[in-house]
Amino acid sequence: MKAVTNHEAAKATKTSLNSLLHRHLPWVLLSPILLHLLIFRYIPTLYAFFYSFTDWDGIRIRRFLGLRNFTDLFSDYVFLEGLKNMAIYTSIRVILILSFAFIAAEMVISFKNANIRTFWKIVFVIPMIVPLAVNYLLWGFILSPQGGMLNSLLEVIGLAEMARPWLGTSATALLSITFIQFPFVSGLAFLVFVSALEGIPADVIDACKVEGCGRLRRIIAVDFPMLRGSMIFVGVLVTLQGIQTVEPQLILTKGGPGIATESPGWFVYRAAFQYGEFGLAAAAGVVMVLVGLVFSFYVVRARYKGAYDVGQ
Amino acid sequence: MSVNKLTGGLSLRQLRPAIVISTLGLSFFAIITWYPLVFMVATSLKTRDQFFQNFWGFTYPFDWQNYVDVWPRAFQGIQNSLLYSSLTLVLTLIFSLLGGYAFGRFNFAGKNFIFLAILMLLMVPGIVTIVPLFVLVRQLGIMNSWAALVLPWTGFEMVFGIFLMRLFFEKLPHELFDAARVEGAGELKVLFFVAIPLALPGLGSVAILDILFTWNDLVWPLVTMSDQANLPAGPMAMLFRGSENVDYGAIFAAYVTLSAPLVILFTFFTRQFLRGIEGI
Repeated sequence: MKAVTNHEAAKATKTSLNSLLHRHLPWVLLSPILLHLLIFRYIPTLYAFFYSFTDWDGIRIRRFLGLRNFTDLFSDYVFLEGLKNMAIYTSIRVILILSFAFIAAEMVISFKNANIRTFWKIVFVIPMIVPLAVNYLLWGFILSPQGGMLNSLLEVIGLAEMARPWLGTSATALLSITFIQFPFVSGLAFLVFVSALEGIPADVIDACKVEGCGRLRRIIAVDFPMLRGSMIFVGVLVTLQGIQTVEPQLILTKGGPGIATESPGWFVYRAAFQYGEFGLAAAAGVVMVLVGLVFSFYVVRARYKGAYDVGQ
Repeated sequence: MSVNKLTGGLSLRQLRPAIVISTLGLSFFAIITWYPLVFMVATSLKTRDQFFQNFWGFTYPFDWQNYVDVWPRAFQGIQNSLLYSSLTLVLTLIFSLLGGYAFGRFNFAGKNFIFLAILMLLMVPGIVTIVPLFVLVRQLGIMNSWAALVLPWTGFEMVFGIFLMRLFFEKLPHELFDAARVEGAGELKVLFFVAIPLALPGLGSVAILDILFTWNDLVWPLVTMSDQANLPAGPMAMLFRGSENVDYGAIFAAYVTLSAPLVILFTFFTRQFLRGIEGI
């Protein structure tokens, strides 16, 4: 008898414990997450804004500067050149990456056989996994003046007079780093487009065929509008990457020759870790996030203005 | 017959112009994408003399000495990468799973606000917080250790992971969870025996993004790892260039060695990888 009550009491506590857990489970699950994000994301973000108003060497705040860092930035011709380069680099790359990835995805889609499609996907996926640093270093070799692959190729096809130190000439350096990773097929954009194209419902395409539309008509009338969401998604990713770009400078050009390939990301890196100007670096970072925010605001607004996408 | 083979079993009649153009175009893209990688492998197997004799192709016999020379340092980088990336992966998957489950399967006060607050972090790129994070890591005294990479990386990667896992859990039918509860399974049982097995495909997508991110990050390891022996594979590659006289054979042998682990891993799991990317 006693044992039964005990058992029932235990069962009752267990269920009440369970319902208690059920009610608070989301918070139990979320608390370590929020704690981690607080320490490693929210506080650093707030500090970035705070320090951007100070003269800070990373250890102590020397002075409170108000907006001085920002006015300094916008009268610094190196930073301004960086912003200009960023705009050129990012816009060209968005166009190139979207177009090449889209063309390649359309080509893959024209095969009806699933195995052939998978084959081509694999061909372009594997190079994606080579580390970014190795990729850039390899492009450094392609573009290098002595024994570089591009110059050697030009020599072989009889255009030796076109050979030049691509990264070492002010006129070509920025464009050269913009074309790194040509033809841009091996990347997320291509895979996203292929799976979005594969996701277009068959009846839409059949309707198009009944109307008698050819390949080109289909691309313009069906694929483009259907892929709008994916295009915006990829475009935002590429733009945000472009705004933050620092790898080509870090690995290949150091912002040179002169200031030909300066970028805001490289400016932040140097200000903080070479000159110890942490306050100025924080301010440059804040400018970059604002540029990104303005951009993503417009894109998100465009996305919700009647964009329709099958992929997502 | 040969045409049949080339077009994957299509008969000549089916050989439409679109197929021809696509095959040619994709082959062109593939050659430009792959040739530098093939060149890298070929050069890594050359002595200095072989490199100057034949620039473009493979030369025989292969010279493995380059690999022997770079192996100790390259292996160090690979070991470091394995440690940092796998720790980050485990943490990111746990956090993404728990967060996605909480947001995807429960209603609670302030849910939307908190979710939005987490999602907002996607708007804050790494370069903005690099300076405060650097100072934070220094104050915590974890500079030059695995924690300096793993903890901030996890903070970055889990945001999109939670987002993906929420979408994933919301798409799963209620009944799967309700059935377990009716059977008398407690909340933790439901989490471990229902949610986690169902979540595996979603976690696969999170894992792929996470591995690519930690494998490719350059700036943060360079900033936090003052001891070069602690660098992960990617940044380690930068150390092999130009220190001595430019010996492309050795440099490229190092690049190949440092790239190999992940390429081999993903070659084995290509189909899962493709499926994971499509789940994004």
